Amino acid sequence: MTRRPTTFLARDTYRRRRLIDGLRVLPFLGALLFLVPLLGAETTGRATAYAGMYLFAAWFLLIVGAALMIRALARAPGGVGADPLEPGSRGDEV
Amino acid sequence: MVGFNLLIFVSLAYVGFLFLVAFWGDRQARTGHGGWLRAPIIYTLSLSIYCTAWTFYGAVGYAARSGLEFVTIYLGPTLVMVGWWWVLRKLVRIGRAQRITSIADLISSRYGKSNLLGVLVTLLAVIGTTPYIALQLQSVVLSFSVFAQQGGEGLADPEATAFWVAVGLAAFTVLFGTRNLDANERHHGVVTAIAVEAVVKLVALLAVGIFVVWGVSGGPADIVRTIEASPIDRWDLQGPRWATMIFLSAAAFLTLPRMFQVLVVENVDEKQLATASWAFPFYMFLMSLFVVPIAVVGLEILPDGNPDLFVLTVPLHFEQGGLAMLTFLGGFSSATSMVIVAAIALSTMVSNHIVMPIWLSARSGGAAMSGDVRQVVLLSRRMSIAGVLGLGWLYYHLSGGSEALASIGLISFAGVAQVLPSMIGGLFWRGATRVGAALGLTVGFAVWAYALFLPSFGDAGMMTARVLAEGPWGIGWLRPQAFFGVEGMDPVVHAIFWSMVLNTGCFVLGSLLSFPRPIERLQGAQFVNVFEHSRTAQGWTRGNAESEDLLVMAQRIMGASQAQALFQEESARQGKDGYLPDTTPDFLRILERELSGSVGAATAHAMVGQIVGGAAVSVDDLMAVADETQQILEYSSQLEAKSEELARTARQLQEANEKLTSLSIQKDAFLSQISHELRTPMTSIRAFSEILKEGEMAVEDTRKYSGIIQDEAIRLTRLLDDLLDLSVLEAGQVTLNVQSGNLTDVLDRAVSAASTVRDGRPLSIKRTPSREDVALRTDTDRLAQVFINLIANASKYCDSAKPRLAISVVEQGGRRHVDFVDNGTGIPPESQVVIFEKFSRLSDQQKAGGAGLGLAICREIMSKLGGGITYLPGQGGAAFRVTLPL
Repeated sequence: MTRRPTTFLARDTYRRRRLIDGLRVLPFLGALLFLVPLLGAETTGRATAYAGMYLFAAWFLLIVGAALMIRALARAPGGVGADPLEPGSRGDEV
Repeated sequence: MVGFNLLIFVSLAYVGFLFLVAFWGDRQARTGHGGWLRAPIIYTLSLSIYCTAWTFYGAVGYAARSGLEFVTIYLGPTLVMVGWWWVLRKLVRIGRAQRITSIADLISSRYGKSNLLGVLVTLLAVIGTTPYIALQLQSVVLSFSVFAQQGGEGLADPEATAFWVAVGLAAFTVLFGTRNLDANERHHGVVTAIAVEAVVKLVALLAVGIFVVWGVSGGPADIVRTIEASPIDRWDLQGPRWATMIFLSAAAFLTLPRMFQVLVVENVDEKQLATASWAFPFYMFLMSLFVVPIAVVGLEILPDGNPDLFVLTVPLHFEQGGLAMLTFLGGFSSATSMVIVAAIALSTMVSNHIVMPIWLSARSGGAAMSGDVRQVVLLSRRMSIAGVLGLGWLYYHLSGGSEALASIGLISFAGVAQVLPSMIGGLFWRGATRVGAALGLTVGFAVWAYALFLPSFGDAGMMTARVLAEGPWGIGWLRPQAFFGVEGMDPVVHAIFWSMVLNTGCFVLGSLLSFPRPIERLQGAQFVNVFEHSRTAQGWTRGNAESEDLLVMAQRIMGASQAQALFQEESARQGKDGYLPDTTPDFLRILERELSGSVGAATAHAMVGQIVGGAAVSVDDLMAVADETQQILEYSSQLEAKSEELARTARQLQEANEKLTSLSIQKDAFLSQISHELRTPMTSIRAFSEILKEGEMAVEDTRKYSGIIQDEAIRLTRLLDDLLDLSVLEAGQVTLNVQSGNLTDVLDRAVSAASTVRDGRPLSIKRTPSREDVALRTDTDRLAQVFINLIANASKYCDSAKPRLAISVVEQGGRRHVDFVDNGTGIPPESQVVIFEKFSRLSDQQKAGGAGLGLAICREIMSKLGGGITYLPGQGGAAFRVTLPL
């Protein structure tokens, strides 16, 4: 099956920018995950074992998410943000 | 069983191994085989100096005391790393673009290369880091003593051990940290050694964890049961403390001098950062994965043991000598790598911001005249390293290795975190100023010292229990742990909250109220908009700098060959031979940047300034540049105006020339015309007078011929009268008979006087009497003459079958005009310019009986009266507008 021709030309650049937007959101997601235990902390005590499991699971999820995004970004045109000081590279557009 | 002597031997061997690794790393980098040094994994591992002995040993102790709270120390940095696109990316880019050498250099450089701020941040860093170094020494000593006790002998002299450890670390740091004044302050040997140490400590902690989970306990499920049975089975989560700790560790991660060193200064490629953004959180994840299991197992089997040493004592308890040795090396690695990098970072700051400025101002002879700067810089670095480690040892010595040291980690974090507002503000807010930064730093630092640092000494320090309870001199709202009477806050949360709030407040307020210097504004723009323009633009105006002086100075800082290469390259770029390029502002900028890599931005700026003659950009320079630009703009607009004027004049000249040419042609035509005009009546006069002279004719004929002669004579006279009239008018000799009148009367007179019948076609005249009632004070006879002329012209030249003339009065722009518009074909555009000229006649309409002087006379009359007459194009027929005199 052939792909329908699209009117949107700079699709790759668009994807890259949205990927960067995702990277920008990630720390806020992380903060949210790490602060969730605060809810209701005054009223009920929590078991260290299970709270710990939640924290480490959230932590791991965040790391995996970041790793996947960086990998996708590195493969996108423009890479992870070229450095204009490096010879032979082009400045990135954001 | 591990003997103490074996331990000494193993640690010495390990140190020797690290020396070799560092030496090899340096060598690889120097010989150009260091490509792998740029690998993101090396960078990620070097970041692990965040995990010091405090976290290696202390995390388990922390967990044994407060449960899960220990992870906050890792969660903050995780958020910073994962959010690298926001802050770290910018920080690294700026660090590379501006050749930043330390966090003090960053702050100093951002706020106009202010040495005051450099000194302030340096002092803050030294005060904040010294206890931390003491803590590392303590951990090494403690771990030694654990083995010594195991051997039954006890550590003879803990302080001596600490001293020798400090000396060893100083030696290592001096050797590999100040090997060379690398242009970009990178220490490949040290970074390689630290990467190795990072692996050792991770492996050690993981090994202990695996041993505890699967060796001691029966797997994860068993560990869960152990946790349930332990004193920390309930997680006593304190919300404010939890959130504050995450914030604090995130802030410290960005502002700790040693972290800045590895994150920004040692960074060689932005791609390293991208990988580290998930890899380093993963490293920390692994480092903390087994902390709780080790803590609960330790609490179970060694209820009376020091929880801070469970990582060591648990393996020893189970007679796992090898594992304990590995753990010892892990802890040793954590302590040493932290101390080495911290010492390098601090010594760079102390040397660049305190020693060098003092040395430079002491040697007033100037940077070029003085001795070998390179040696001075290296010496001051080495002295600073020794000094920093000496301070750490002194602190350890004075505090007597007390338990109080355990909490010093957080206190230290809170101290260096005071740089955060100035740093983040400087990166994202162009309005942040030096005054604001200095104010914020000072206030934040003071609050930190007062509310957290000094009370940490207990009664021994200035903060006695009485001051804590009642406030200084009994002032209740100044109680160090309850500012403004807000009680019940955790002391650490309290101190961080107030120091950060007051720090940020003063920073913002100071920035809003002060006015930045020009160089501050330039640097601010460079920092905030680093992605738009990654080149520095702090301008050196062309001073009277001699390139030779600059070369002499640069050689002393960068080394002869490197400096010569730089100068030669610049010469070549300027198209010159040899080593002495012109000291263009551009070259001075490049040179300053290179130098700042060795001695820091502020010092480099000062040194170049000494030679160039202090000709950094001043307000006056900027004003001068602005003025010059303004002048050039004005000049060019003047030129433009002038050239437009010239073009206009040329057009006018051309028009005049055309007019002259056509006039000349007309004049020629007219001369023949006038001779013809004069000749025709003269011919008839002569002919008829000859007939009369012969006589012999009827009386009737005689009368007829005499009548013809008289008519012709009248015609001649009229022609001559017109010519005379015109010449009189043109010569300005006319006397005006000014009287009061009314436009209606004048027009009535003109209409009745003008002959309005031609070839039997009467000219119908349309007037609007209501508008004609205008009082006049002028020569009404002359005005009537003009009107008569115009009506007569319409009558004569209007070629319509039913000639009509509309006479209307209009008011426009404060003047009154009388328009005479007929319904003929009008006057062609090319003729419109000449109709008011003398002798101009558009057709050969002999019958008109004029000599082409009428309109010329009209024009002269109107200009004498103070009015005017123009041709009004585009009205459908010939149209004349008479502008009445005022």
